[in-house]
Amino acid sequence: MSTVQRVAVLVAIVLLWTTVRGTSAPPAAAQGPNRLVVGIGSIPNTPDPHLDSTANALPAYATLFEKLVATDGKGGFRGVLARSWRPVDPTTWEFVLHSGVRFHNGMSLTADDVKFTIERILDPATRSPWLGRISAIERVEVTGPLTFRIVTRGPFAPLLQGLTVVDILPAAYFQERGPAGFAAAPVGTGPFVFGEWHRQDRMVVRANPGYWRGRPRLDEVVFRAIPEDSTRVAGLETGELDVGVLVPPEQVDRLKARGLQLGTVNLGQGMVVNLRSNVPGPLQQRKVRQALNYAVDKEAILQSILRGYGRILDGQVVGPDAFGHNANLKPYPYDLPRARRLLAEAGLGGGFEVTFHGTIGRYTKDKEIEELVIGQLAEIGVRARLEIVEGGVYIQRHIARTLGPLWIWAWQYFPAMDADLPLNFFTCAGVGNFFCSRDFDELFAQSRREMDASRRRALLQRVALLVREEAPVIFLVQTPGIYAAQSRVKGFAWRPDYLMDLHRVEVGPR
Amino acid sequence: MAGYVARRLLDAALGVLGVTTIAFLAIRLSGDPVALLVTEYATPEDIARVRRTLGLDQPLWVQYARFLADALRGNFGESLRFIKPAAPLVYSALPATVQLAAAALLVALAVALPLGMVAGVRRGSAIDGAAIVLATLGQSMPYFWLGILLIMVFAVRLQWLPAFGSESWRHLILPALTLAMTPMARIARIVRSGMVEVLTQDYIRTAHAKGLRASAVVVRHALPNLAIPLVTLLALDFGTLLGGAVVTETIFAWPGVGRLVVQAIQSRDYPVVQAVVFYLATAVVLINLTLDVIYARLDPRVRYG
Amino acid sequence: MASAVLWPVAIRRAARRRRGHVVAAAAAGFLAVTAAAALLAPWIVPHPPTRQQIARRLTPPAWAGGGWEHLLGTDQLGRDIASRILYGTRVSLGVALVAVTLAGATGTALGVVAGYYGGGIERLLTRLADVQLAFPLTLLVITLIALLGPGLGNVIAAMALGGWATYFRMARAQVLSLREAEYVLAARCLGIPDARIAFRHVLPNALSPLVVLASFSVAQVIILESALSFLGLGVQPPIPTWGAMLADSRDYLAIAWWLAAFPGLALMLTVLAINLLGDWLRDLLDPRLVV
Repeated sequence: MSTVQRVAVLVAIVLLWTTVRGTSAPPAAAQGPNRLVVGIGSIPNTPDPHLDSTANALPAYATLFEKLVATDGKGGFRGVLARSWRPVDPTTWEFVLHSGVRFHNGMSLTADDVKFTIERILDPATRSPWLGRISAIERVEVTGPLTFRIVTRGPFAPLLQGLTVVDILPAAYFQERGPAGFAAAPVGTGPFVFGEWHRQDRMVVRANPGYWRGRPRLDEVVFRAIPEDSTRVAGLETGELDVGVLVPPEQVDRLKARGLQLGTVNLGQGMVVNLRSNVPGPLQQRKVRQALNYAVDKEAILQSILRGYGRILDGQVVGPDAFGHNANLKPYPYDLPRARRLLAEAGLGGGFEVTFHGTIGRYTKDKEIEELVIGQLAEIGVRARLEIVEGGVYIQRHIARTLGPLWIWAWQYFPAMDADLPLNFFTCAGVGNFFCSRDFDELFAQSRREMDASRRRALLQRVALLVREEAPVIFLVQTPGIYAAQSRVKGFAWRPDYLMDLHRVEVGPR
Repeated sequence: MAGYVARRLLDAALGVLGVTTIAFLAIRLSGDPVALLVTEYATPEDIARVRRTLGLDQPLWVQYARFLADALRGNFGESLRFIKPAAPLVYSALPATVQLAAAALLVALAVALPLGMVAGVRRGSAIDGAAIVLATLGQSMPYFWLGILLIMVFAVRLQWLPAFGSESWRHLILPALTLAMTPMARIARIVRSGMVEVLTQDYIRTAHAKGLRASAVVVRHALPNLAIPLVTLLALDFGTLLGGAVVTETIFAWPGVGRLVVQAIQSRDYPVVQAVVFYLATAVVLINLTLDVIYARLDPRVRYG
Repeated sequence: MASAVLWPVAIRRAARRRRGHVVAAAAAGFLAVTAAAALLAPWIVPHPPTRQQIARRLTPPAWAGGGWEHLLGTDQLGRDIASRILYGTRVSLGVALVAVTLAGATGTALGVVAGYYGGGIERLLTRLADVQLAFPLTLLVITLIALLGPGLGNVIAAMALGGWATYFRMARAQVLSLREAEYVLAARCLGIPDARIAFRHVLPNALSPLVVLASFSVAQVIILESALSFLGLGVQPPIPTWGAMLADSRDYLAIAWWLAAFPGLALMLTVLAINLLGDWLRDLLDPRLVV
C-alpha cells in the first residue's frame, strides 16, 4: 500500500500547489454591475496591436487604441484622431490631428506619435502583419505639433483604407519601454486602459476616466477566449458571459427561448470558392466558371445551413456595406439546365474531376458549406474531391498557389469596408494570384490612381461588373456574425467591420 | 549500480538530443512559418524581408547549429505567434495542465481503485459488471463529447458548476472529470485483473487459512502486489493525460500547455513546439530512468543491462 | 494434489469460464455482424451515404416522428444517418485494423530483433521507443498529420508510426524472457540459424500478449480518429466515419440528439465487444497479463 499512498500524497501536494496558483487569479465573471464579459473565439496573441491581425483581436485592440480615421458605415470615412485631411497632390496627403487628445499615461498626442507609428509598421524588423496595407507609404513628414503629411510612392487612392488598421502608439513611451515593456503595459488613447492579459485566456480593460470623448459607461470589459462554439453558447446560457459572438445559427432559437437578446450582422467578408483559371485546365474557360456558378444553390446554403442569417453575394465579393459595391448586379441564379448547357458548349458535357480544398472551423459553417457545394457540383457531373487543409497552412498554401483548382475562401474587406482590398488579389500580379485578365488589371489600376471618391467608386463598380461576367470565383454568401447578449446588457451591437462599439454599453444589475 | 545509472543518463541525454533534432527537422520540412506572420495582403518582398529577419534564408545546417547552441542555453527563440521567448511561455502554461492532470488522476484513482478491487474479488458480480461498463464507457467516449455533455448537464441544466475557465477549484471539476475517464477505465481494468491473479496465489490462501478477514487480506496482502504495475501505468498515463488535455483544454477554455502546443503545431510556431518537445522528452526520460532505477533496487531479478 | 475441499472452487471456476465463453461468443458474434455490415455496406444501405437532401435535413428517427424513409433520421445536410453509420463502420473499423496491424507488425519485428540480438541495435531502438512512448499518442499523431497532411492514408500511417513502440517494448520483453529457454538453447546447439530461431521458434511463443494488446488498441485507435476529426485533422469528409459524425454533431446536441446518439452507440457497442473479446483472449492465453 505504501507506494500507492506515496503516489497519492504526491499527487495531492501537486494539486494543492497548483490550486493555490489557480485561486490567486480574480474571478472573471464578477458581481459588479458595470462589468461586461465578452466571449469570443480568441483574444489577441499579444497586447501590442501592431503584431496581431486576426479578426478576433480587432475588437479588443479597439478598446485601448485608436486610429487616425474609421469608416462611417456609409462608404465614407470619419475622423477619429485626425480632425481633417486632404490630398495636396496625387502623392501627398495632409492631416490635422485633434488637439487635447491624451494617451493613458497623460502625454498629449502629437504628429511625432503618428510618424513613429507608421514607421514602426513599415520597418520589416517589426514583422507587423499590417505592413502590406500601407506599404505604398514612402515617408511621413511632421509639419507642426498637430499636422503632418503622408507621401506615397506614386498616386495611391486607398490610403485612408490602409490607415483604418493603424493603431497610433505613443512614441516617447514606447521608445522608453521598448517592445517587450510596451507589450507588458500598453498605452493608447482609447476609451479603456489596459488591465490584464493572460495568454489564450482573457484580456481585461478598465474605463479610461480621462478619455477625450468622455468616460465610457462600463467600468470594465473582460474578453474571454473560448474557442469551442458549444462552450461559448453554454457560457451564455449559464450567465457567465454577458455577450457572446459568432453564435452558431442553429443555437439562436435556444438562446432566444432563454430570454437572451440575439443580433446579427453581415460581416465584411465574402465567402466564395476560388477558381484557379490562370493554369491549363477546364477552368480556363469562362463558360465553365459560369456553369459552376449556375450549379450552386446559394439559397440552400443561406436557408438550410445558415438558417437565413447572412446574405447571398450578388455576383461580387463585397456587400452593399462596402465602397465600390455595384447595386445593379444580381446573383447567379440556381439554374441546372443552363449550367449543363454551358458545360456542353465548353466541350465538357461529361463533366470533369477536380480537387476542392476546404477548411474546418476557419469560417462559419465552412465544412457543411463545402460538403453541400460539392454535392451540388456533382449534379452537373463535376466531381470535386474534398481535401481538408489544416488551418495553419491554409493562407500559406494560398499564397504559394498550391490550393485548388477549387478552394473555399472568404475575402475580408473589414475594417476598411472597401472593394479595393479584395480586388487587389484578382490582378495578374496579385499575391497568390489565380486569375488574370488584362481588362481587369487596367481598370483596377485606374481605380487606384483615381483620387476623386465618386469617380473611384464608379470605376470599382465597373470592375465588379467585369468580375461577375468573368466569374473567377463561385460567389456564395456574405457570412453572418450572430451575437447574443443577456437582457441586462443595454446598447451592445456588433458591426460589419468586426468592431464593437463598447463606449455606450451599460450592464444592468444581475 | 553507479555505472548503470551513468550509462542510463548518457542514453537519456542522447535520447533527448535525438528527439529534439527530429523535431527540428520535421518542423522545417513541414512548411514555411513565414506565411503565418504576414497576412494574405503581404507582397512577395514583405515575405522575403520577414524571412531574412528570422534567419530562415540560411542553409538548414546553419539554422540547426544556431538552434542547438541556443537550446543548450535554454533559449528556444521567440514564439512567432506570441512574440515572446518560447521557453517561459511553455513554462508558464505548465502549472495549469499539471493541475488538471493531477486532479484527473486523483479522481481516477479514487473511483477506480475500490471499484477494481471489489470487481476483482467478486468476479462476475453486479459490481464487476458495473466496472466493465465503466471501463467501456471510459474507452469509448471521445473527450470532446464527454466534455460537452458534462457542460450541458452540470453547468447549463443543473447550474451547479461553471461551464469554462480556470479561476477556482469549482472550475476544475468538469474538465478533471472529463480527463479522468480514460485513466479511470485503465486503472480499474488493471486493478481488477491484478486482483484476480493475486487471489489465486498460495500466500493469499495461507492468509485466508490463518483466519484473516477477507477485506484485510485484500488490503494488506493483495494490494501491495499491484503497486508496481500501477506505478508503471501512472507513469505511462502521463502521456495519455497530456494527449487528452489537448482536447479537454480546448473545450473548457483551459489555458494549458496542451492547447498551446496543438495551436503551435497547427500554426508552425516552431520555437514553441521545440521547447515543448524538449521539456517533455526530458521529463519522460527522467521519469523512465527513475522508475528503472527504483525497479532495479526493488527487484533483484532486473538486470543492469 | 487437489484435495476434496478445493473441488467447489474448481467447479465455480469452470462455470465462470463457461460464462466467459458465452460472453465472448456474443461479442464475437456482434463483431462478425458488424464486419459483415461493413463489407456489404454498398449493397445494404438504404441511401447513398453522401447523398444530400437539404429539404429533409435534421429529420428525426422513424419512431420519433421522422417516417420510415430514414430509419435513424438525417443529419445537418439531409444525409441518411443509418447509411452513414454502416459506411462509417467500414472506414472506422478499417482504419483501426490496418493501423493496428501495421503498428503491431513493425513493433513486433523490431522487438524480436532487439530482444534476440541485443547490443547496440537494442539500445538504440529501446531509447527510441522509450522517448516515443513519452509522447502522448494524440500529440504525435497530430504532429505527423501536420507534416503529412490529413487524409485516409496519412491518418493510418500516422497512427501506425505512433503506435509501434508499445508492441516493440512488449515483444522485446517476451523475447528476452524466452531467449534463454531450454528449447531455444537446444535449437541453437542444433545449428539452426538465429533468424529462424527468433522468428520461427521464439516469436510464436511470445505472440499471445501481443494479440491481446492489439485487440485493445483497436478501440483506442477508433477513439483517436474521432479526436482528430474534432481538430479537423481526420479522414477527409464527406467520407463518413463514426468519429467525424460525432464531432459534427456537437453543434446540434441540443436540437437533434440523434446525430450524436447513433454513431455514439455504434462506437460504444463495438468498443465493448472488442474489450470483452480482448479480456477473454487474455484470460485464455495469459491471465497474468496486464494491459
